[in-house]
Amino acid sequence: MSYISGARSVPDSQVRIASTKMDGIGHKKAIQVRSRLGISGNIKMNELTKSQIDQMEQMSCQDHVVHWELKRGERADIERFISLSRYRGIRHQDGSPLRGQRTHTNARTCRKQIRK
Amino acid sequence: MIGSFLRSAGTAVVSQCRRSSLLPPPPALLAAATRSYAKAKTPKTTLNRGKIKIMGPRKGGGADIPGESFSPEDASTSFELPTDPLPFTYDPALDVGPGGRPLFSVTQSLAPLTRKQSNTYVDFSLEEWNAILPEGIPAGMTKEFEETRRCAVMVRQSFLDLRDNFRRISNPPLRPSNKNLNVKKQIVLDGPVSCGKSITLALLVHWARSEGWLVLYVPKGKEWTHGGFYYRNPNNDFWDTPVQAAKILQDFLKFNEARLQQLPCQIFDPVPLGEGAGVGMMKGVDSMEMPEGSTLYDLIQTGIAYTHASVGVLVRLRKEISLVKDIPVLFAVDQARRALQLDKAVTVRSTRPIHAKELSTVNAFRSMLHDDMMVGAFSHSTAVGKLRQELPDVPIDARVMLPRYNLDEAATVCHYYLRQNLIHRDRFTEDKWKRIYYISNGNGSEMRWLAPFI
Repeated sequence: MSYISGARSVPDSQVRIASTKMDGIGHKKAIQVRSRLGISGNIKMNELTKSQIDQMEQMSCQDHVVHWELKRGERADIERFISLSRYRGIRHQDGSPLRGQRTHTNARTCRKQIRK
Repeated sequence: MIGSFLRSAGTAVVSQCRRSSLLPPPPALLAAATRSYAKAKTPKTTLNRGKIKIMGPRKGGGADIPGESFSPEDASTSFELPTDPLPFTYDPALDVGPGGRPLFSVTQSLAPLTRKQSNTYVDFSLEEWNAILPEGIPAGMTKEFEETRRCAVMVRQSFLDLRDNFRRISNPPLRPSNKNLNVKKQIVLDGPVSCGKSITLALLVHWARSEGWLVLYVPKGKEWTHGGFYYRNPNNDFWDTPVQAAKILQDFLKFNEARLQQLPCQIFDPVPLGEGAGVGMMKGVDSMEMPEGSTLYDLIQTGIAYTHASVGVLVRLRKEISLVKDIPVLFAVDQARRALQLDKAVTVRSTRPIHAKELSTVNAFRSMLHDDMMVGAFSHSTAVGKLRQELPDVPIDARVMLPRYNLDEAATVCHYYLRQNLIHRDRFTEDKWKRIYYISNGNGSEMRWLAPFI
């Protein structure tokens, strides 16, 4: 078991699937990173050398926003809305849905924090 | 003392004679059986109320074996993959083809087969097949073996023509004839789906290796363009695939090791190094020299041992094999002209597919515009669409269309399936097997699938 940019990777999984476990890396970005490193689609994580894993991690961090940088950016956007007293910021504070959903019923997922 | 010596010698001679007189002559049935089944012991069997009684050396011979009674339909389940010793239910008297002709040809190799033995089956054990084709058996052949539970392959006229074509090239007759003018050194096997391209190629390799040729056999050309790592070669515009190159070298070494140890290298330029699999470039070194007196075996071992040199060694090997004149050389590639599934990164966020000819390994073996003997088999199962009419780097007349089964071959196949209990004996009629043939249009795999429905 190893970690790449904070994502736990299973040795038996393919590289193109394991790399999507990183925050900020989806299917398309995984293909881009893989093709730049010269790794074909059916290679598994346990077939990679340490230098290749390091290269993959470095390339992901350099060219894409991943892991804690992504989370920091998301949090910063939310705090900006809050500081500006925008509707979306207030809804974030209240723990209510903010994309126009109904709250008379449902909205259970968003209101998990209130229930707790 | 002398008398005791002579007595002992005499008794030894007598015992030898006794032993030889005790040996029974080979039974006629066994002589007619195939080579691998020559040791078959066929006890008498009687069918009684749906149960097969095995009359063996047990007391009272006809007693049922407790707990082992089974119906005629279940008899086929006891017929395992051909092994040595054979299953006890084998009966050589059933080896009869259409028109009463023998179904199997007894032969040690494919070389002595003639036109008269076309449309008969040749039976080798699985160990023999794996020994002669250690790189792997084609998937279609493996499936045929599994479903028929016997490692037998039908010898078709198309294979005999192909074999004779290469035989005329390696041993040209003294008198020129029309046949000699039509010999082809480079052949691309094409044809409809499941017409026997891969099996024909495997049989050709079998024949060539039994004749002592140096054969580079690639049963799965798909593996050259799939999987592994690919790196840009700094010296040219090609892409290196070190993992595939190492595997190709290992496969080539499996059967040809002894022969390669006798063939010296004839090109003495240093072998260029590339990027290794997962280890990057070698620091400070960009080429590797082979010592004088090296053989092709040493060259291949270098390519296997050093991942940086595997691609360079494979490309060098291609040139070296072309210079071998002592023995005939044959390149046999199945699933040739395969599409690629590798992507090259154009920018950080975009890619483009890499063509097969951009790979160093494929590029070295792709061209057929040379004087070496090469056979490539197109595969419908791994390609999209048909083979193009005009193929680059291929002679115009290299294409050979293999036909599907004709009526005679289909008759032999159906009788073989009958022999192997794929078809019920009481339901087998000429009308029914012909119906299968016309429904499947001669497609071998479809006929095998339809056979149990007779």
